[in-house]
Amino acid sequence: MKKQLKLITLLILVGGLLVIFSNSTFRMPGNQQNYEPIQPIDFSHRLHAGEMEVPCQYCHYGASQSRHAGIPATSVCMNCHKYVSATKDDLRLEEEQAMAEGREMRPLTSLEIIKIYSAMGYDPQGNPVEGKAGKSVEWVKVHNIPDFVFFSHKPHIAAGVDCTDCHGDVASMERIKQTEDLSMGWCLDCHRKDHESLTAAPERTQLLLDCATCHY
Amino acid sequence: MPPPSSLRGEKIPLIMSKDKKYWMSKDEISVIESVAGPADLETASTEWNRRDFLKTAGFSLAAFMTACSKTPVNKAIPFLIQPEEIIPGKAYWYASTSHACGSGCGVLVKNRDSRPIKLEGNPDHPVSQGGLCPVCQASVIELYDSKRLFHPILSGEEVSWNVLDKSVVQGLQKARENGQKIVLLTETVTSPSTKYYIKKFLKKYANANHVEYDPISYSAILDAHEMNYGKRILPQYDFEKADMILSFDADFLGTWLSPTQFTKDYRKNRNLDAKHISKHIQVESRLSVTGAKADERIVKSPAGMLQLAKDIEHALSGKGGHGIASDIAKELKHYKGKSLVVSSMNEPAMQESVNRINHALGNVGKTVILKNPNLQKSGNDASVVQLIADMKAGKVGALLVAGVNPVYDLPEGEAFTDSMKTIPTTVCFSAKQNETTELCNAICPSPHYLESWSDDEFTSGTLSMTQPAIQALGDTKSLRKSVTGWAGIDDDERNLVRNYWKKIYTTRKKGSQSFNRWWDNLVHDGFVKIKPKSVSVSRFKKGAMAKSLLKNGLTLVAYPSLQMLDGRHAENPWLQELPDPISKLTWDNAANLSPKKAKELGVSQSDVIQIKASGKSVELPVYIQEGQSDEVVAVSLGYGRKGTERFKNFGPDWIQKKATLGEGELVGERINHLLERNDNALSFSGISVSISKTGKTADLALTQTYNTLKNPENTAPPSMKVRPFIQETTFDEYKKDPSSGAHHGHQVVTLWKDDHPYDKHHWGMAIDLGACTGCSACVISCQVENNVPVVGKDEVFRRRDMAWMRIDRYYSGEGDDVDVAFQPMMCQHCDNSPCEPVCPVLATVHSSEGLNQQVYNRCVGTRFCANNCPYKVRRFNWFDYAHNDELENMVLNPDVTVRSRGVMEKCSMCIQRIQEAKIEAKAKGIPLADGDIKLACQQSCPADAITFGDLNDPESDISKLVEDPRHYHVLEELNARPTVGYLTMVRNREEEKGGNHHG
Repeated sequence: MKKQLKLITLLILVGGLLVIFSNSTFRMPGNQQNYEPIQPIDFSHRLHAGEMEVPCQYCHYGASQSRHAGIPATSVCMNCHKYVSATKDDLRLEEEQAMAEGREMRPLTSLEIIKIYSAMGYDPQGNPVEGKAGKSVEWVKVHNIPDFVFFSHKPHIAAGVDCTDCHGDVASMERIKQTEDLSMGWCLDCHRKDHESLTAAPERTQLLLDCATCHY
Repeated sequence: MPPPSSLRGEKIPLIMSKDKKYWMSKDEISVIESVAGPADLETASTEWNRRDFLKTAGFSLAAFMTACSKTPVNKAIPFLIQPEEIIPGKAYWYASTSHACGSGCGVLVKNRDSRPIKLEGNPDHPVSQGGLCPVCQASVIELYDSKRLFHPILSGEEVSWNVLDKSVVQGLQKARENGQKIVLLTETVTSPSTKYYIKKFLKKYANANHVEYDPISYSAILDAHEMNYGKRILPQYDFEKADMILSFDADFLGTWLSPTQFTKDYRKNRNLDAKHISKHIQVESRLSVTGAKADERIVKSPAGMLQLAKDIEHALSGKGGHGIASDIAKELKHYKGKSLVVSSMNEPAMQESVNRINHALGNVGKTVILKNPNLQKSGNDASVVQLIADMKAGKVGALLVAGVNPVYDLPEGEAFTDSMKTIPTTVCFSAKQNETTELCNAICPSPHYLESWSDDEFTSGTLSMTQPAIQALGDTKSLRKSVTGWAGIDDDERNLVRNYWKKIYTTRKKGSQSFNRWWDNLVHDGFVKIKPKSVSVSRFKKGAMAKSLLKNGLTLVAYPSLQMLDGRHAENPWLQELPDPISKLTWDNAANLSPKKAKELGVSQSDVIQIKASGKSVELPVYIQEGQSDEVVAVSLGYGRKGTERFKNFGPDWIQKKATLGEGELVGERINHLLERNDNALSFSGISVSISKTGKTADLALTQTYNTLKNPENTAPPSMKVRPFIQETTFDEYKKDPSSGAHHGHQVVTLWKDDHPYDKHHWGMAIDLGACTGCSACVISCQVENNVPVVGKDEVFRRRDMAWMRIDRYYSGEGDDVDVAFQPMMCQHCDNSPCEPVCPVLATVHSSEGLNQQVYNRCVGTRFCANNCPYKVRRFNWFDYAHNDELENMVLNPDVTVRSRGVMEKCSMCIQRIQEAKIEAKAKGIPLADGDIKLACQQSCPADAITFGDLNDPESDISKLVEDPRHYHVLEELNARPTVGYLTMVRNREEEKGGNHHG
C-alpha cells in the first residue's frame, strides 16, 4: 500500500511540474485566450485597421445586420487589391530601378496578394484566367464560442458596444489574437454592469441575465 | 480478490445481494467469516491488483491531461464573391408556390445560407392566406432526401440526359411508325405553360393524347357538372359566404380539395361578435376532422348518405319528406342563396343530387361559383379506364407517366403492371423510385418544387409563381422541359415559363405594365391576379340520375389520410410520425371499426383482421373508432407504399429495440386494390366487404394513450375526479352570457411572494378551442422550426414521442352522439411552474419576460421536471436522435440547438423568433409592435386559433383575449398560473347535450 501511495504522489508531482513549467498555460477546456493561429494569408490588421484606418464594419459588415460579423469574402479584398498589388515602398523601388534601367515598370505583386489572386482563380498579375475557378480562402477562426451559446453581434452593435471592448486592440495586431477568454463569466461581467457608457437603459440589465438570452 | 473458501476447502458462492438468501456451507460456518477482511489485505500479496492499477492510471491520466489540452481548429470559410443580398446568418425569403398536394398554397420560403429550411404561408395569397397545412410544412424535408433520384436512368443504368432523350425520341418515333398510341399520363396539369407545351408535343407526335387523372378522384363532381351545366368544371366553393354548410362526407377542413383555404374562409364566418355564425352540419360515415368541428353530426353509412341527400332533395322540391331530411330541408330553405352543400363522394348519383340541391337553393353564383372555376382538379376517370383497356389491347406504343403512381393508385394496379411490361417505351417522371418507376425503362428525375420554375393557375384568375429557392440538387429536369425537348424546342427552365407568358400576357394581364415589370412583380409577390378565363355555362339541366352502386351492409370507406394524402408523402418521416388527428395513430393505418361493430365481430383493438372485397383482401389491425357508422370499416389510403421499407430500422439503436417494420414489410397496408369502379368513376366508399379474424395481433403506436390530463379514477380525490380542461358552450348561450361554459377555479392565496416582476414584456398565448380543427399544422411547423427529432414506431409505442406540441383529442358522449374536442397542448410557461423548483442544477428557470426557459447545456437529465409537470409536456432525449446525414441535416434550423442525449426539451415559445424580433427592433431603435413576433405554430395555423403577444401591452390582441370571459386556463386549480390560456369552444347548436361539458 505504501509503495502504491508513493508511486501515485510521484506521478502527480511530475504531472504538476510539467504543467507549471511547460510553455502552455493552464486553462479550462474551451478557453482559447491568447490564441493566435497562423492564417492562410498573412493579413495584417495593423496595416489595414491601424495605418489605413479602414473601419471594422467595412469588411465585417455582417456585425450590424446578423449574428455573425463574418469574415469578408475575397471579393471585398479585391475591391482595393484589384489595383493595390504591392507595397508603396516596393513599387517606388521598382519605379526607380525602371527609370535607372530605362525600361517600363514591371507589374509587381507581393507574395500575400498573389495568394488572394490565386484564390480568385486569377494569374499573379490579377487577370482572370480562362476556365480556372477560384476557391474560397479557408481562414482559421480565432474567436470560437461553443455551439450551445447563441451569440449575436447585432444587438451588441445596436447597444453601442465597441469592437475593441471584446476583440482587443485589433488595430495594433499583425496577426489576430484572442485577447479575452470569452467565458460566460466574462460576458456576464458586462451584462451585469449599469450600462452608463452604453445606450441601453439600466432596467434592461435583468433581461440580459436571463439564461435564454444566450442559451436556447 | 481470491474467492473465499471454507476451512474445509469447499467453495462458497459470492452472491451477496439483499434479495438472495445467503446460504452457509454444509458445516454452517458463517460466510462472512471466510471472506477476506481488511486485515487480510495488508498481508495480501504485494503484486499490483486491478483496483490499484486503475487508481494509478486514472490519476496519471488526469495529470497528463491537464497539461495538454488542444482545442480543435475551426475554419471560417466565406464566399469567394459575395452576392449582394445575402448576409451570412440572416434569413432571406422567396415567394413561391407549394406543389405538395395540388391545392397550390402560396408559400414564403425561408432561406438560410442558400438552403430553404422553413415554409410559411404567404399572407397575401388567396389560397393559403397566411396558413399552411401540415403536409406542406413537412414537404421541405423531401427536398433533402438522400434517396431521391439525382440522375436519369435508362434500363437500370445512370445515363446522361442526351442518351435518355435520344432513346425516348427513338421510342416515340417507333410508336408513331407502328401506328400505336403515345399516351402522356399525368395528374391534373395546372400550369398554363406546361399545357401549351404538351399541346405542341402532342401535335408533333400524331396519335398522341394526354390523359389526366387524380389519385383521389374528383371526377364525379366534374362529370355531374357536365351533365347539369354543359361543361366539365369543378366549382369554387365560398365557405365565407355560406351561412349554412351541409357536407356529405367532404372533409373540407382536413383533406378535401383545398383545406387551408376552406379553413380560412370557414373561420371568417364564425366570428362570435357577429349576429350569426355559420351552421355546419356534417353527414358522414367515419369520424373526420371536419365532422369533429361540425355543429351537428349525422352518422350514416355511404348508401344512407345518398338516401338522405335524395330525401332532402325531395323535401326541398315540396315532394314531402320526414325526419331529419325535412328538418334539414327546412333549415336550408331558410338560408336560400347563403348555403352550401358539398360532397366528396366520387359517386355520380351523389354529386348529381348535390347539384340539384344547390340549384334548388339558388346557391349557384353565390357560394358555388361556376363562372370562375376551380382548376385544381380536372382528372377524368373515364379516360383512365379507356387507357387501361387500350394498354391491355396492345394499342399503346409509348407511355409517359408524370406526377402520378398508377401502379399504386389504381385498383387495376396489377393489370396495369402486366400491360406496362408489354409496352415498348415506358418513361416515368418521378422524384423517387416508386411502384411505377420500377416498370419504366426510362426514368426522368423530377425536381422538388423548391428547386423548380413553374407557373400555375389553380383557381381561375390567380396566377401563382413557383421559383427555385435552391440550386437543383441533382441532374433533374421538369416535365415541361423534357416534353419541350422532345417536341424540338430547346430552352432553359426559367425561359420556358417566361417566354410563354411574354407571348400571351397581354391577353390576360390586369393593368398596363410592361412585361418585365409584370414578370418581376409576379416573381416577387409569388402570384398575380390575371383576367380569368371565364367559362360559359348553360342553364341548369336536370338530367337522368345515375344508378347508385353503394352497397348496404358492411362496406369499406377508403379515405385519404391527413398525413399521406394519396400516399405521395409516404417517405416523409415527419408525416409518418404525425399522429392522425382523430385516432392518434402513427406509423400505420388501421381498420377503424365502431365499438358496436367490433363487439359484434368479436374483435378488440390491435387484433388483426382480414378485409375481403371482390376477391381481394388485406390484413389490418383493428382500431376502435367512436362515432363511426356501424356498417362501415374505414381505412386510410396512402399506406403500403414501396419505399417505406427504408424505415425498417428507423429509430435509435439500443438493446431492446424493436424494428419499426418486420422483414419485407412496408409501413401500413395498401388498400387501393379493394376499390371498385362504378361505371368509370372510381368508388372510394360503399364497397361491400367481409371481415374475418386472423388470430394475430399488431402493436398500434398511439400517442393518445398517455400524457393525458385526466385524473385516473382510482387516485383522484372525489372533488377532483372531473377536471374542466375542455370547456364549451353553445352560440345561443354565449350570446346570452359570454362567460357561459367557462368554469373558473377559485382565487387561491399563494405562499410565493410575487418574485417574478415582468417589467418589460410578459409573453402570453391564447388558443381558441372554437377555432382549432385539430389539423396538426402547428405540430409539424413546430417540429420543422425547432429541430424536433423523429423517434420511430417503437419509441412512440413506448410513450417516448418527442413532439413539443401535441393535440389532445377528447371524446364526450358515446356512439353516434359523440362530440370531439381538440386541445393543443404545449408547455404552458407557468408563472408558478412546478418544474422549476425541482431541477437540481437550475437548468429550467423563469425568464424575466414570463417564459419558462430550458437551458440544454446545463441539464443533466434528472427528469424530475418532467415528473412534476402536470401537463406532461416535457420531452426527454433518451437517445442521440440526430445522425450525421449531411444532406438531410440541411433542413435543420441553425438558430435552434440540436439536442443530444440526456437533455430535457420542451416548447420554448420559439424564443429564437422572440429574440430575433427584439434584436431587430433594438437595431432599428423602435419599440416592438404587436404582431411583430409570430411563433411557428401560430403562423402556420390555417384557423388562426393561436394568438401570441405581450400581456404588458394593453392594446395587444392577447391582452384583450385575457379579458374575454371565454378565457380560462387548463388545470387552473393547481395554481401553476400558466401564461397559455384557452378560449371556450362555442358550437352553433340548439342545446348542449347533457348541459355544459367539462372534462
